[in-house]
Amino acid sequence: MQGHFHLHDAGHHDHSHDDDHSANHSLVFRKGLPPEEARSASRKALRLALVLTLCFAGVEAVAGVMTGSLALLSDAGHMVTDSASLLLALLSAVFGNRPADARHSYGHGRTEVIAALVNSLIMLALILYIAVEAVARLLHPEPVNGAGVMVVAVLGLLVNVLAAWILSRGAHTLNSRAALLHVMGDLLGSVAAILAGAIIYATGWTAADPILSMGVCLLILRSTWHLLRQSLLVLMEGVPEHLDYYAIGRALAEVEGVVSVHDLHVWAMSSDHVALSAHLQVGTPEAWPRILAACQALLSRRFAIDHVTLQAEWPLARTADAAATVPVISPDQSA
Amino acid sequence: MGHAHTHPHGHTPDHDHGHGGHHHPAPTDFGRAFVLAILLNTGFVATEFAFGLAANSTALIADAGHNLSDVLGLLLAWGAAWLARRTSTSRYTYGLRSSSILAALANAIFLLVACGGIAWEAVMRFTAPPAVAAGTVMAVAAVGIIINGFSAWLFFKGSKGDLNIRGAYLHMAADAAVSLGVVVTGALISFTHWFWLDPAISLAIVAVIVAGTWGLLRESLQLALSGVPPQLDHTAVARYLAEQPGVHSIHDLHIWGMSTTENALTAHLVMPEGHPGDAFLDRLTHTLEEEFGIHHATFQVEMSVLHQQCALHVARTGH
Repeated sequence: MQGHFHLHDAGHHDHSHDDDHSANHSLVFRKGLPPEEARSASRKALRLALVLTLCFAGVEAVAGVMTGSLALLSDAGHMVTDSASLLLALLSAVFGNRPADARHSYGHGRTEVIAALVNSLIMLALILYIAVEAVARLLHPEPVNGAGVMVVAVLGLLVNVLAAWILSRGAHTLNSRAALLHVMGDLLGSVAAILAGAIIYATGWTAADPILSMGVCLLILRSTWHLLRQSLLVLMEGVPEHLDYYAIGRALAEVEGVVSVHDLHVWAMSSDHVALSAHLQVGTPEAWPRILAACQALLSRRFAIDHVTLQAEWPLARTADAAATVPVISPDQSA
Repeated sequence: MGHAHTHPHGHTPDHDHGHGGHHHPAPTDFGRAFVLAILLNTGFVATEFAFGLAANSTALIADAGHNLSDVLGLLLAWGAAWLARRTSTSRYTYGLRSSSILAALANAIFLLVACGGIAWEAVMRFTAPPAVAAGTVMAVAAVGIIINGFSAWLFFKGSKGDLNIRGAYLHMAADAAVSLGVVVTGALISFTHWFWLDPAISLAIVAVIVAGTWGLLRESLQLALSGVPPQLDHTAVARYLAEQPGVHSIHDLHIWGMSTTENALTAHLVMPEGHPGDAFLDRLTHTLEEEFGIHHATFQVEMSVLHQQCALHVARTGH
């Protein structure tokens, strides 16, 4: 049954090596690491960054008490919230690694996605708080010790640069990307604080502090929004962004022996595993084992979907009349 | 490609799954309960705020702020219940029904955070001299008991089956309990002058709310993690499928909640004699819906016993 309309030319059929470029869009293969190694690298990076920020928070708190500086103490508080979000990411990376059981038939991979969601919500709350504070400062300027702010900010910058570097080396999952985002936000905050301190020290213009804070807020807001959308996409069982629903449907319908495809579902089980289920109308029962193998090979090679459930159906007499209640994807359907 | 048959699951949430006469009642529409509860609570917040401004009472204004968060919780649950009915798209192939799971989770987290705040304040009051509830505050709390108690009652019927409705119910019931605490402590302290009663009763109420919310948190987390829905028995479903004639073994059995009320299943059946045909699968899907409350099932029939392994290293269940 090779009478199908082909959108790709014949050379691109499923056994060709040209298909490998599609797999490059997947989260897993982009970094060239298998999921397990990527996860383990993420965990190590998270652990290191956590120890680093906690230690710095301790140093800052002690220095704050000794010098009586409120700025130092409040920054220590900020670093503690950073450590908390890193801890959240680390815990979920550890729990997310537990295997599937009778209560969790897909494993615990989604713990990470939920941690990313919670982390991005906390970030949104933090952004809102800083924005409100900045407006209040603009309306009622407060005296700022420019030199003191600069010293603390430079120290904070060093710690955050180190933490960001550690995390970016291990950032392979949605979860550790969320943690990296948090640290990047802090890093920008430190840079802004250094700038603000320098401006205030040089010119005495205190409004520089809240204005720069708001600029940083806008930057963090952009990436936080993206992360929030991505984690919601996974939790709402949406089709992963790098995959095209109609392209997958057409590719399945083009497999020799498949008449049509319906009830196609593609969703991410965790940040690095994609699942698919679909119903295929096939010509004859005898051809099913071959069709199944061909479809599995196609999905795995071209779309990097390795968790597949395909239900075979044959067109019977009763399918002749009633209107279709489900979208049916045939090879000639356009997106 | 006119393709329609009687197999009981479709793409569109509006599509009737053949609910007629099966043992799991279709989810009740709580639209009216939501509208009523939201209107009542919003009215209460507005009144409290107005009286607070007029009487210059920070306590009343603060309570209005707290009750506003109830309205948000209700809106969240209502919005999710509404989203859950929207049709599926090529991006969200299951529709947006899992928003009901996230709403239940958010309501559980909301409640626990609120409990943390109340507990913190109560502990503080053990050391600092407590402010005894004045006449106005007690009167407002009494009205709060009625409004929140009534709202909770509206959702009680659905609180067993639908986790999202249970979240709304628990939120309302917890508020009624807090208001009750304010009235009872106010009355007791004016008789006995035991000021430690105020934080002690607050802590007791917090303990009750946390105990009630814990289950909501656990179950909504389990659903959000694509876990097996709590009322379903993975082993029993596995055994049922493995016992079917012609089935040598089953593997890759996944059961998860598409929303707080609907469940999906995928499984691979090893049938060495060949594919049994549509009628067999139709019967399986029907029984799974009737007996187990699974609304969306997909089966992959495989002929060879030595087939590729599940990518997630799922424990084999074909015993």
